[in-house]
Amino acid sequence: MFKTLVLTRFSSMFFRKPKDGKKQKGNTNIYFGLIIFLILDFGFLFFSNYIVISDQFCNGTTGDGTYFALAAFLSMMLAFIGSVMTTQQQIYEAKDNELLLSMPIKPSMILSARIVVLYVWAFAFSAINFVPALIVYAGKYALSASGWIMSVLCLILVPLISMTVSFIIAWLIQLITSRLKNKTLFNIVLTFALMVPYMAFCMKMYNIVSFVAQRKDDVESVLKKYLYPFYACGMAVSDFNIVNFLIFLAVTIIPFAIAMTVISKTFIKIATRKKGFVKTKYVEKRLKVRSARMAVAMKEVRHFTSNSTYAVNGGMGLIMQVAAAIYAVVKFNTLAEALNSMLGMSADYAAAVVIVGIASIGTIVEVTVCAISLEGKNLWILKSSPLSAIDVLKGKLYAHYIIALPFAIVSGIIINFIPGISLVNRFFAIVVPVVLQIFVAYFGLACNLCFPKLDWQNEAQAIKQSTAAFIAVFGGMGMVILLVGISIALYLVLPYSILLIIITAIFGFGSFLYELYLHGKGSKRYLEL
Amino acid sequence: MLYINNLTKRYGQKVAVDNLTLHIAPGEIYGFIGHNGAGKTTTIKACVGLHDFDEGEITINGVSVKKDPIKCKSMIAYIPDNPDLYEFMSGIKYLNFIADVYKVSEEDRNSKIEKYTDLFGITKDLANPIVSYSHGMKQKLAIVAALIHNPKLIIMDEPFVGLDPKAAFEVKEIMRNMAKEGTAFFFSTHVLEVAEKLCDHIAIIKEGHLIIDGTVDEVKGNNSLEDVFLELEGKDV
Repeated sequence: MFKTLVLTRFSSMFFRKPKDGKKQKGNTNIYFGLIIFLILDFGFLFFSNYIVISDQFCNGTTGDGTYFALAAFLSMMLAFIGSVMTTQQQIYEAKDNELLLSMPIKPSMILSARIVVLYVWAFAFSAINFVPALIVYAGKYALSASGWIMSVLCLILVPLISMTVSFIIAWLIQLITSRLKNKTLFNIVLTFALMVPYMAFCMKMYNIVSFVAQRKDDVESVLKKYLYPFYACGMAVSDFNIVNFLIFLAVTIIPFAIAMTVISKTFIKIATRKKGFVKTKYVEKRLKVRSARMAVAMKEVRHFTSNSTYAVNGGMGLIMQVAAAIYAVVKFNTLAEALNSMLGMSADYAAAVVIVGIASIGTIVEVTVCAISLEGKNLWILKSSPLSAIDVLKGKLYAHYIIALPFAIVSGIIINFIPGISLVNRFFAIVVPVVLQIFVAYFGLACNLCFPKLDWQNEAQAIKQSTAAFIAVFGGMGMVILLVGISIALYLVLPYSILLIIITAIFGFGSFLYELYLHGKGSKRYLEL
Repeated sequence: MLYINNLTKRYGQKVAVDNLTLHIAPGEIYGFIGHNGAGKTTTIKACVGLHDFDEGEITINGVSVKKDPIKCKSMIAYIPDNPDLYEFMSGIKYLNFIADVYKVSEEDRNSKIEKYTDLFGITKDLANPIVSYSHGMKQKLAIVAALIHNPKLIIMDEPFVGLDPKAAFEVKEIMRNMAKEGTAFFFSTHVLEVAEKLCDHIAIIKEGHLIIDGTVDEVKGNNSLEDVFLELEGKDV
């Protein structure tokens, strides 16, 4: 039974059950291929960081504990950021609690199955950081057998700390949101509070790593003074120090066991509690009449704004786009000078590159990419309504425009403040982000039509853990690199105005092709769902 | 109003509905009875355009469901067995959304919403998100949504499940009153007592085959509908 519960939970997170019951091996392969690519990508990033850090922190003899301590701490932080929201969804927001509790299954078994899944999730995040640290060290200095044993033990234990912290934070979130009327806003702010430092860390990673690498003594002192368990972990791996290992073991196991005991004692209460809603009395108001397409669009917008996971994942690119535009205005002169000195690029061409770069950030906006999947069990409403497939699909596209285009336009207006920007660049600063955003809406919708995930247990699975979402994220990231790279590469061949016209034309034509797809195969595909 | 002619639907090798023919006239309340897995929901979903079908034809008011599904859907209302609604919406926003989709005028939607939500006692909850509604409240909301656009045919899958006795009574009253004005009802049910008292016509389906149909009196004769149903259920198809 336990195995079945765990497998069910995993399969609900990673697989979709096709309507016709046939396995779709291709989709699964793409999905896992993308996950492996992501793991390798991040693994390589951490690998290169640890090469820099190990140069300064390690000498291959005893006393390299600070290096492993830092790796353990960063692994814990990564696992915490990666799993805190999942913890909340799996423990406090799971929709199948009542169903499972009504079956002859012990509550402890239901809870244990969830804990196992969360552990694997946190372990994956932790390992992405910790394993490269070990490989770098082993490659440079050779790790003893005892070092390997300790490393593996610490790797197993580190996620328990992040899980304990996640349980507490998720419990606090639950406590606060159950008393709030506007839970979504709170969750959005909270997610941004977690994401912004994380994104800032990723963006400034090279500088931070260089900074940290130069300050071994300071890092050691901070770890010893404020984060001693991690220091103990580092010493255990580096010097095979059993006492330090036992300290680390106690610090991980005891709080985890206490958290588990508290949760298991209150699990039935958690699982069966009425979700706190602040009741509002209906006051009759004039109802707004809309066209069918706009009704679908506004429904989608409401869904987007009412779900913090959707709003944050889908809308992060919008905030980044505006922030990048502000940054570009402030730093344009430095950037233009750098491009001029390196490549002899004119200021006008540099401005065009900035326009393309900022517009391409909009490619990671994900509104339509899960719009079909999110219909889930509610798909019957649209399908039994007198709406043609194209009405529904267009409604979903309109929602993307309503959400994303104001940000694209604002980012363009901000770019207009670059000192001395030409008239052509001023015009395309608004046109390129808008055209690109229209393309992104089509691309996302087409992805979701090809890879829908309608059988989710909670909406986060459709938003974050579907093949369509992975393709869109990777496609978006690839697009940013590709567009900026091509723009820079073409500076000797094309005038900047022609570059901007070509990019606008390519994405305009791409949107036109997707429009044809939606009217033909896309509509057919929707009707088959 | 609803013509189902020689309908056949297969899931792979399994024939879910086999050569089914039913005719439902305007103003008629037509009960569709059968055991679990008999093919009731499949038939209903084919009628409302949620499932494609392999053979046969379904027409609503002379319009083919296959050829002009949008026109058909604009004439009907569907209430599923499990009211999965948009939980992120409030009740009133959901009803307004449905009114937009069916192109109901502002005046009509206001009066219908007021009338039916008052009748079912859910008016005061309309501002709350649907996720906070009980199963019965969701079912009531789904019924109100189905009535907003004056459908000519209402197709319901187990409409009385989850309703409290008062709401069930109100639904039956609405059905009778609307039927008098010409609206046809086609609904599946397991509650034979309801079917016996409410319906003009009854069809019993078993393993995808229609085994009997006719007026309630024709079907049950001098027996109770329960006796007839159990007897027919025992027979081989």
